[in-house]
Amino acid sequence: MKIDTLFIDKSIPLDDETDYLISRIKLQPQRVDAAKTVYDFINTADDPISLAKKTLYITQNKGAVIRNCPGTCHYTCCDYTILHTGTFCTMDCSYCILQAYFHPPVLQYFSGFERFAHELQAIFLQNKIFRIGTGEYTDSLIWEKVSLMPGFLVETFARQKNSVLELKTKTVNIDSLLCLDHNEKTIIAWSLNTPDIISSQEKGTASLTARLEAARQAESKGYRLAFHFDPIVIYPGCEHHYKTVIQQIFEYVRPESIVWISLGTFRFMPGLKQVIEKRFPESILCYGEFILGLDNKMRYFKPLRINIYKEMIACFKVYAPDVLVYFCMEDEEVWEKCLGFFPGKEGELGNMLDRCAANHCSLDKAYI
Amino acid sequence: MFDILYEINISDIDLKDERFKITFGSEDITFLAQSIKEIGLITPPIVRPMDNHKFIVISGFNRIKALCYNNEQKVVVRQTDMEADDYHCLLAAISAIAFKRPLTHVETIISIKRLSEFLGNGEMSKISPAVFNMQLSEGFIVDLLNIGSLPNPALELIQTGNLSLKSAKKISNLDKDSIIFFLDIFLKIKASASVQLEIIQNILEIAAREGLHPKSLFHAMKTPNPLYDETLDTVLRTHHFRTMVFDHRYPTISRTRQVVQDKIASIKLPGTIKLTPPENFESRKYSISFKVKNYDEFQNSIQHLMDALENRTLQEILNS
Repeated sequence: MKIDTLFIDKSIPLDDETDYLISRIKLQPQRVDAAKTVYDFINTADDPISLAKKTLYITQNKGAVIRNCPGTCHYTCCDYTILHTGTFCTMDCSYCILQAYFHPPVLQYFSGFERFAHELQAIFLQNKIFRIGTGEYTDSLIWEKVSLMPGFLVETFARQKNSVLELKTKTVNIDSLLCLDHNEKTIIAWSLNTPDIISSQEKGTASLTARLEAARQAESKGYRLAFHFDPIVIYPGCEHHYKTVIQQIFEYVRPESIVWISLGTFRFMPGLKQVIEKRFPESILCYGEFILGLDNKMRYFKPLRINIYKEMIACFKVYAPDVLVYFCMEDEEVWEKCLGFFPGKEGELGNMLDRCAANHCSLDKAYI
Repeated sequence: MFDILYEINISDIDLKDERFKITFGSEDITFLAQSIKEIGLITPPIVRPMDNHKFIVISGFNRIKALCYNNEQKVVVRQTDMEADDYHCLLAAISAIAFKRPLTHVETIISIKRLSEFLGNGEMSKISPAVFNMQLSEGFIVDLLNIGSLPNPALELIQTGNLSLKSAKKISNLDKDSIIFFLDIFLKIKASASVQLEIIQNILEIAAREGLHPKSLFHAMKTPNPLYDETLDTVLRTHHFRTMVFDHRYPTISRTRQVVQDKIASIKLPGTIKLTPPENFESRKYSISFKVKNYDEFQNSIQHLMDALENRTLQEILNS
């Protein structure tokens, strides 16, 4: 979606980073004293979510730049670390939790290389492994064409030995990254889905083949890769469709380049259903067999989740038996029945992923 | 406007003109007739004189009917001016009831519908405290107007509680065929407001998922529809129909529940011991409970549980 309104926080300096961004967006920014002006502007719309996708607010992160992934105690979390570089997204996936997560949703770009560098330096000095991602509250690469931030992050991470940067995306915006010396410390990760789901539910995103082609390009430049099947949507024939996607991955990239693959079936806060019904009246996404999970999110009935996971894992075993496949927010029963083990101890899944990151991304193994 | 009391002939009242009647349906007036006979008419009806020397009723339809029932010839009424317009008479008709007792949903709907011929939604909202004895928001007025435009027997179903306001609002957004389809359902069942909404939602979601119009759904289900089973009473029919819709909306969940329930039944635990599967099977925790009145019963229950230890089906359930 094209940005048609640009706000900028009056208090942030116009430096190389913001100048570059503004010049590329090609809009005259409206300078505002407070975020409230932006919120009010968005809230005036009949569909604030759609307006928010076209309204960019350049500001500084007023809260924590680095934070832990908000997992819940009932399901196993990967203990990811979030680098908070922005919020919301220009693409328009029907299932996107961000639509219901922010009130109102605001497309924010957090500027300030110095602050990010400072906060990251504190991380790099610690004697442990960090897996850090920017794709929790936004897509990691939506601004790649207009921003220096992705390149800055890749080069910053290249100069240390205990952390990997994971850039999660549904775009193919990697051109500016290809020529960088990443020193194997950046994983470029694509969210994948079946072509049916991409075309019907992921408006404005790159096609499956475009994503895989981008992955091939990234691999050719030595980047480590990851894939996330999240959300997996259950529909008639989905097993076959997801297996075909898995098969396709390995037509584009080598298993050795893949650091990890995560699986997670569609789950949502109950409030998202109304948003989807209103904004995407054609979508039947929420009409599957959902139950209220232990974390108060709607989840597919467990036997259905187990069934699709088993099918997909069997397929991975054929094409990439050595690639680490893990579940995002699943419980002991699902792990045991689908993967034959459960990383039961607190932090165990995180440790598994740390080891994997260290092996693939040349991190200092002494930190494991 | 209605300060003076007059005595008029009941035969001069045109009871067929119900333009200001906002109560719904006909009420049994025998008790009212008896009360008037023994105690007298406490509150005079309000009538409006017409050009043809007849009167029409603004408020007090039942009182006049009760007087007729008592074979009275005359009635003391409050009479409006000849010039009183329909709008002011309607306000009087509504407020006469609203300040005596809360209006029913159907009375409110009828009143709003009639009043909308004179006022916009914002204006109705503004005067609602003075006329309806409650504040009606503009949004709620829109909902009531939509509900008011539903075909028969919607109001009757709302009046009897077969259709809640929320359910009526939900179906009022649908196409005409779907509305008729749902009204037909609620004519045949009697469910609580939350169950009504559950049924509507489940049917709409099945239809959306299967790409069907709701009215074609039952043909597609290919199972006997309890809705048309005349041998069932309303309670059973409602229960079976709700179950049928749920089973179709959540086929795997229903099947799994049934299988587990069958397995639990096959263990043949005594009625005092209850084995309950985890809700929605999301956790793995089954609960086993029993009630006892004394130590003997406690011992008995423990013995039953000890016997069940050898039961393979129980092992299968708990280890699945």
